[in-house]
Amino acid sequence: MAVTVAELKELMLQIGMDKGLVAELDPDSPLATQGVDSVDCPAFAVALEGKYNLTISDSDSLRLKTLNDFIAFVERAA
Amino acid sequence: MPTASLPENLAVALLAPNLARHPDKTAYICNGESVSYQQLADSACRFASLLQQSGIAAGDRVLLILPDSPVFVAAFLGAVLHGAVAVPVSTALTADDYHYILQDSDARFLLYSSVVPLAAELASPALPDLVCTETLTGWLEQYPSAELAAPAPAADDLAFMLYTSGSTGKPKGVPHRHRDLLVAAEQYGTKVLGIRPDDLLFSASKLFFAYGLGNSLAFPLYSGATALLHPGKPLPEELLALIAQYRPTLLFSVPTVYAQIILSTARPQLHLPMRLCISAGEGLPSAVFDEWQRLTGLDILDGIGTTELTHIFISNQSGRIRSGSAGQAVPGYRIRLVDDEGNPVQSGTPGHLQVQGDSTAPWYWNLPEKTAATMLADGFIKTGDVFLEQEGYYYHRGRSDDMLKAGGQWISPIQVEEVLRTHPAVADCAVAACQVMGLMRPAAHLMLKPDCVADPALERDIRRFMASRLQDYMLPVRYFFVEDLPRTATGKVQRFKLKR
Repeated sequence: MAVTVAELKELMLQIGMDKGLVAELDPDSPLATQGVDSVDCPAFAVALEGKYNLTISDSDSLRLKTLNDFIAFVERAA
Repeated sequence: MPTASLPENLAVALLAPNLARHPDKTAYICNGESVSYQQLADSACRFASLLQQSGIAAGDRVLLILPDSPVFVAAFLGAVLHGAVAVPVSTALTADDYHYILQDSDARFLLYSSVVPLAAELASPALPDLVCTETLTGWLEQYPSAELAAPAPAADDLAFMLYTSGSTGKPKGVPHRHRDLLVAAEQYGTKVLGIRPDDLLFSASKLFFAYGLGNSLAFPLYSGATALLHPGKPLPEELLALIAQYRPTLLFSVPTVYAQIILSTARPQLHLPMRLCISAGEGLPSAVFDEWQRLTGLDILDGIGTTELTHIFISNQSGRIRSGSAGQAVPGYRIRLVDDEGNPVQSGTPGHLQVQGDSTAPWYWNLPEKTAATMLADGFIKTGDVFLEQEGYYYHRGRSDDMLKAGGQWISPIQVEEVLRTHPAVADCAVAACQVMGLMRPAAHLMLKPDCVADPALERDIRRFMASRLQDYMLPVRYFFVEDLPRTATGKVQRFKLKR
């Protein structure tokens, strides 16, 4: 399954994350250093699980740091 | 160093030994400012003089709305030195909560920081107030710095009071006596953590929490150590920069912040200077413990404490850590697990956690019924947690009420539900815990009004609506649109059935 950065950013907007923050996200940098906080982060993980019908384990959730990490995870899980 | 059993004023007990031993030693580092023990004691005495001149009497409450800084510590100690009751509260409350606490505590003096605009709105002709910054140098220099002395308090004299979320949604006051922080410093800070004068303590959790008050005020002063303070939000990159610059030997935080630090680094390893990392406030997921160990090579000592007990009473210890467990009883604390009838349960059987120790709050402020229901005649206190004990180690199994904890802070479902019900699309709702990334978070279960459609646009709108009305940690991370809510025969929502 091919997943794009744009799709994940759209998902972030759907959960109410700030439009300006989402637009500026660098897909190769940790989200936690770009203003994605401890509220946005779990909300995004939950939204991702729902959209792609997959489960993120506790240990995986600590290794998914960048948007590209999430893309690789979804593509592996597909 | 002070002795926890002596009936001594808390401020004198924490400051006097340090003035005798090393007055020029750095007590605090904050925003590039270094504050010696002598400076700290002088400022505390000046604040006590100001309170004296303002007509504040012994036992009066002094409201402190301050971020972490040496000014916070000096004001807290100054109020206690004067015989008043320091009431430090969060800098991130709503206007309603500030007004409620002001009224409930009947505070007679207000000290607030200029970075908390809502606090300024509390000022009135009936409430003397003072605004300050986070810099101690030069603060209150116009007031005399009297000798550091205070009469010994009576056993039940109060020194400070903290507010914590109540199950009704209103904050509840938890007062403490002079000895309570000293007991916590001796029993946990010294006997469990082995804090030494050459330690540098750094707490990501703030001073206005019981956890942070021990970490950044009682423990360093009791041990003659030094503490690093960070007035801002505990953002991972800022915490890592301060750790790299100052090289603390102990780091105190909550699991959420440890997880955020892990998520903030793309590097395969982090080389950190701490000899101990400590976690409390919410259960430490095994995944966070394991990943932190893999990333840093360091263990995290998990523990559990409550505002009522002042600090941590069950903790793991170096060399005896069991991942997934909150640890063993801290010396001086008695733990028991009981069934619904109050009878002790056998090892390996979940039971309601009750704790007894010398740092226990004597009562709840203005809440005699809550006091009677929670604080038992034999000195034990009901924590509301369900635990299981095996081989002397305690394992968290949930709550016996609907309260939930996120980011180390209590959340009353009622408080979140009240806001949800004000959204025009929501007919009824319930809030219950869900587990995400190994941590408990609030989830909202919504029944919509007949003309409303559950779609992504509505969920986005509700999320934004909530974000503008509640503190971040209270925001639901999941939204479920449901046809009905589980209820008792009398119509009461059964939130426990919604936990996921």
